[in-house]
Amino acid sequence: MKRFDSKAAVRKGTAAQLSQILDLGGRADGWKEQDLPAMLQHQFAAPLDFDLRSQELAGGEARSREKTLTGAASIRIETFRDLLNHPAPPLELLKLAKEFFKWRTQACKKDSPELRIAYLFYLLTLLAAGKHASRLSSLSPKALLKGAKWALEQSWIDVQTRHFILAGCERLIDLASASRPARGE
Amino acid sequence: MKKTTTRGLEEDWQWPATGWSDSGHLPSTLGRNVNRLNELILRYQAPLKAYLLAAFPRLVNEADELLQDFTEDRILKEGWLGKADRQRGRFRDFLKISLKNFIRDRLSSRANAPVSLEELEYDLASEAGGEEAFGLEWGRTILAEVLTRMEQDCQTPQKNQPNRPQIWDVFRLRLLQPILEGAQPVGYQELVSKLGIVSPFAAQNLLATAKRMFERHLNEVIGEYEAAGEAAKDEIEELKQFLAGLSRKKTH
Repeated sequence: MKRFDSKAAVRKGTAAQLSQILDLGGRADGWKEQDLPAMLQHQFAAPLDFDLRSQELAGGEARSREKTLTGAASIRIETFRDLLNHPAPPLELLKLAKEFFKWRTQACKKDSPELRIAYLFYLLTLLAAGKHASRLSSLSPKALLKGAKWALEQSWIDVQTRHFILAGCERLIDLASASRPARGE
Repeated sequence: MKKTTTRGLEEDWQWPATGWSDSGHLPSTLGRNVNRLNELILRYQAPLKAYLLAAFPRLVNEADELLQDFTEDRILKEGWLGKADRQRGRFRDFLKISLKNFIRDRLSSRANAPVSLEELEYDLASEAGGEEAFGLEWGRTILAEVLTRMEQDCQTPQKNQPNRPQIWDVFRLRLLQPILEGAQPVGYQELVSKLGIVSPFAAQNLLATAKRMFERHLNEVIGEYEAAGEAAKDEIEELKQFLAGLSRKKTH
């Protein structure tokens, strides 16, 4: 494949093309709606340690993160799919993942595909925590269910993820029912 | 390293720092790095030639000779740059006006009499054409330099940055080639597979880093002939407006 010669290409550039290049900083040309299904699967397959180490932490927090990631590797939890599908996902690892995706929702542009991926995985992490979700987040079960509803409305979510979300919602509802006092008590 | 010019002079020059000094004048002394000088002279040749050919169409057969004479008699002449004054306008305008005046003086001295601009087929329309040709070539020259530096920067290995070449590749495949070649930007799946990008946020970071790197190199290149800070920002804005205006004009 012929190597792209940027110098030669720009030397032949029209005013319109040069104008677009000079204005790159102002362009909103990240990923598009049609990229979301691929981004979703990519995030599931992404190695945990790459993303979870990208957030800057210092001192004790960084050491704690290292310990948690080492523990994950020792029980063969290597990707986000491994984590979310694990029958008993370690709570500390779920917490790390939740913190990462929350951080990404704050860093991403409003309505961007990256923001939607980050928010979805934030929700999935809390749903995976099941009855321990309240230890990871102050988000109420009602708010979490509202988030799950948003997720189920997204056309780019695959069938397997929908099942995961629905199962997570059922657990939430069962937990809420179990904690309600019985009639007559 | 010595360079022998066509006039037989052995030159060993360094182009002075072209940032405007605090007095508003460019430094008038020349140093001793002929490679740097050649690099800068070559960089300005294309826009100056474009201006000359568009503004003085009658001189097409003498263009190269006139430019070489202009370079030797003006640009390389000690003290000439000292005439450039920040308060009176931009450096590229100074170059262009100096060339116009040089051409008129040179042709007048040949004819042993002042030569009118009409005799040179120079009029408002040709001046406008010259301005556009100069501005377009200037934009091309600047961006060619920016992109060359950015690509070299990305290919230079740095500690703790093993994915540095990916920055250029993402920039090229998602932004640059689609603009310059009219191609569709490479899709997400193909891009991450091709470049071995491990997660969507890694891809996002690469694209954001690429844009920041482009802006940094753009400011550096502009800062080599205008002062850093506000002057460079103004120059970039002016170039953007000129090119946007020219592109609108061409589509009508």
